[in-house]
Amino acid sequence: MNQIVAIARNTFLETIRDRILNAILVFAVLLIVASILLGQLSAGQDIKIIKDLGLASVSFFGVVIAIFVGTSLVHKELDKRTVFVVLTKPVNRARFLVGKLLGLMTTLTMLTILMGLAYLGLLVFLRVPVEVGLFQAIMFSWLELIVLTTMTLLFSTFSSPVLSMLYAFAMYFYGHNAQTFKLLAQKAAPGLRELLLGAYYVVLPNLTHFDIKNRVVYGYTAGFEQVGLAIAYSLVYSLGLFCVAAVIFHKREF
Amino acid sequence: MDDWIVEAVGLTKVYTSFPRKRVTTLDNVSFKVRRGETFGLLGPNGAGKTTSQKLFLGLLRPSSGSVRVLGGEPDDPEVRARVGFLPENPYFYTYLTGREFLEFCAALFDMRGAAKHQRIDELLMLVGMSSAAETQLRRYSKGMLQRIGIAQALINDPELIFLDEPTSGLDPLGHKQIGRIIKTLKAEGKTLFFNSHIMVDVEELCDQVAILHKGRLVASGTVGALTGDGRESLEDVFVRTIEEAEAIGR
Repeated sequence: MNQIVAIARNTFLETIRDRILNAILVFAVLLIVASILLGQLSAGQDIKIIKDLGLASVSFFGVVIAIFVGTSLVHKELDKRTVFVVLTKPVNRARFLVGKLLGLMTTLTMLTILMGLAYLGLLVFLRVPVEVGLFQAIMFSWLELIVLTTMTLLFSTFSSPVLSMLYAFAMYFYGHNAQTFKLLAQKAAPGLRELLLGAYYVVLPNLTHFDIKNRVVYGYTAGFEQVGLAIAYSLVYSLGLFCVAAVIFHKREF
Repeated sequence: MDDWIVEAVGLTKVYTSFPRKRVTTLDNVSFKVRRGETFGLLGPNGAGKTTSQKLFLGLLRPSSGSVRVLGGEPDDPEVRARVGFLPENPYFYTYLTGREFLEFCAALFDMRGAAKHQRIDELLMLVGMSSAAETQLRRYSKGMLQRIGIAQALINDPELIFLDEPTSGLDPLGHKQIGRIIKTLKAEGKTLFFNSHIMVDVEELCDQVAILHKGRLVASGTVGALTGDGRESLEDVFVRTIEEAEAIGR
């Protein structure tokens, strides 16, 4: 446990001392605040725009950081040969990955909280009612980040940062349109095509479980079942991704 | 009975890449290192020295042959707990200070509390880095990085220490400081295994040497035996051995 905490702490320090991260965070907070200006431009829609753009910013910048930082997480260790220092010590490779994942998730959690506070603080400042749904949307974005971070970690165990980034963005865009594949599978004639589309739907990430942003701006609140499903999906799917990453990393030579 | 601490038997490493390209970096190499010995693995660039060390450290797996380190498998955590390693041109976590980096390494060995802090202070003293302990590694010179690298390799008080080109690229002062640290470790009875192509260092520090050329072992023995008890310099022996190997196409 001491080892995992040490690796996680080190990864956390690495990410928060990275200047790019600070720049993204400042940009995110600026955009959240800028939603006031955009809101003022659209008469009658101001509150919706402020809510909408703020939530989108919290989610989008979390995704950007998860993918940009996550994809280089393992590769940087290989490139700078720091992995030699760690893996020649009595450190199990899976524990190394757990530490890296927890470290980055700590950073992302902190950033989500900071961006969330900036967003909710802005709403309070503008005397906009803060509904439970808004908190839920931020929590769902965070659950999505767990899946995306684990996925980028998996890609980074076998691929270069650029390719990992491409895979991760592709999965992100697929994940938000996963329902389309489900519909296609349902409409396809029985046979190989139906089977393949069905398999895609089951194996690839379905990020629509985490997307309630568009509804909460109209006052929607997710029920207990939906929250439970989102949490369970995030944890189970991430665990599956992590197991694959651990197997690949275990077999890898340096 | 000989107390072998490192054993390589028929060690071979072949890299295969698409499409069917095979590169043999180590070819049927066998040698042994006794406890307390200082062993130098020599060879020109690309001879297979770093590959050998990586195999002994479990970072690579042999294509054939076997490796035993401290009587066990190199990737066994119990073996690793007794081994130290300084990589070539070490790049450590530059955003950490020297002390933070050593604390991180100590945590990987599950070291805690006062014993950990005492060990770190001892090592900082040994490598002469106490005054730079609170400086971030990004501000360290190459010699300082090498010294903090030796400190991290010793954090667990290892029985066996692998050093990959510990003195290459250092200025004369840095070179002398590293040489002094290695001599201290030797005097403490540690087993040292180092890769180098700096013959003066090897001649001065090593008991046994092995020379690799294009992945093959072309000579091995005590420094005295190879140099005819000093009649020839190790550098001359090395050059002659490599040239002979080239001449017979090995």
